[in-house]
Amino acid sequence: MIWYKDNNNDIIISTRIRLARNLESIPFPNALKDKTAAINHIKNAVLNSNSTLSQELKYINLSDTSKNEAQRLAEEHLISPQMLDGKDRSVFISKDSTMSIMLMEEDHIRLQVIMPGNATDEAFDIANKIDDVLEENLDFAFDEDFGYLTSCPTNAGTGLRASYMMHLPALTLTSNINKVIASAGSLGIAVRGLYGEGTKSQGNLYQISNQTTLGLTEEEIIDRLKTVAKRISDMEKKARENLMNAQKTAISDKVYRSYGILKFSRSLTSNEAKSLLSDVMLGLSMGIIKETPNKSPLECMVLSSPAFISEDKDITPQMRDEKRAELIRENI
Amino acid sequence: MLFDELFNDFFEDFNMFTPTPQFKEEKKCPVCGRSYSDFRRLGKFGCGECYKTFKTPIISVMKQLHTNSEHTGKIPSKSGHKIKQKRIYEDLKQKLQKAVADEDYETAAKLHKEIRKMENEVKQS
Repeated sequence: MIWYKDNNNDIIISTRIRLARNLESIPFPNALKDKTAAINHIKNAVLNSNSTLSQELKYINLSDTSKNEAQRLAEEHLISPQMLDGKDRSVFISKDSTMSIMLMEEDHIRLQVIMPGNATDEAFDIANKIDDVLEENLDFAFDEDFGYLTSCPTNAGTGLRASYMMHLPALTLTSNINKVIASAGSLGIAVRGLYGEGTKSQGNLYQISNQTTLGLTEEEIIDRLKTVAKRISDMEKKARENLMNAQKTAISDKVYRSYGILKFSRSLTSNEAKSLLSDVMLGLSMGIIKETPNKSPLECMVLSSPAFISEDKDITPQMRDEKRAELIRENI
Repeated sequence: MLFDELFNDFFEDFNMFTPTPQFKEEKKCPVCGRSYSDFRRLGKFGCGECYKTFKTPIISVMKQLHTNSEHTGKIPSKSGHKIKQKRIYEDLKQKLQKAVADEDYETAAKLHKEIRKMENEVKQS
């Protein structure tokens, strides 16, 4: 189940669980000069583990990987943007693209499970089991009071970041999103742009995640996130209903205009495509657009990102915009 | 990141008004060699041992960040046996206190027995 392919393009788009772990007695990546020994140690632990895990994983050394290929992995959310510089960084990715183990990110190990829709319990269960398998062969830095020790104190304790990717066009359109961000913040839940900290929302997609990692159990963290996400989801639904009741023509017109541009344009920038695809996603989910597209708007968003469009070839931005328009025209 | 900025700003302001104090021997982490002012400058720790080396100031950092400074989540099963036992022990003690307060002496007696058993096991090991 690839999060952007097998997706019903609902309000909760995808679920991600990330666990941060570090090896005992050696410096964290930011203070570790020679990372080779640590990388090999973790690599061997994964490959020699007494489970089917090693057969399911593909090892990718990011310093041998083209910039474009790495960028594609980042667009698929299988590696974080910080991994893009490639030096001394590598990743294990599961064959079904739901799980990745990043090595030498901010922490020695960042274990991640990403799934379509609302699947926190399932994703956490998988991540937790893989963590148990890793722990059989590795000694993690752990403290009785501070829990799992991480490079940044904002991750210490459980090392757990649980997050949802949510599509919130109606809350954004009605300018209610800032209120949502503020009230979620007061409950210890951060609402951010798509690529994590410091990034802007593209295509009305937001990342909703826990800020507290210490002093709560994993279950409590996930329950809090679920509660807040449910509330945001209900608010988005309400905002959509209100739009439909009060401004039916205006919202249908907006959706169909965007649909029209995507169906017929000959050149599209990445940002323009994301924003128009978001309108179509809204239109489909509200029943304004009845036709089922060849590929969902979400999949089009990922497949039309610069890294996917370029396919390792050196093409100019104009050529990219033309290719993007073509790909979307054929699929939407 | 907010946290880094917080400390960077703090440190910049600090530098503006006072010369950087030259401590003769600032405490350094035995594993990574970093000091607490390195953490304040970078917002990141150098290794796990830093958490033990600078425990006291870190407790207040954690309280600020997470409103709590005690881990209640998962414990690694391999190295965490003792910690798990300790958690169970503390949990039993709390339950005992509650039972006594509620005047539920039957439960209190059972709990007391369990606590004694755990204490004896620790003594023997």
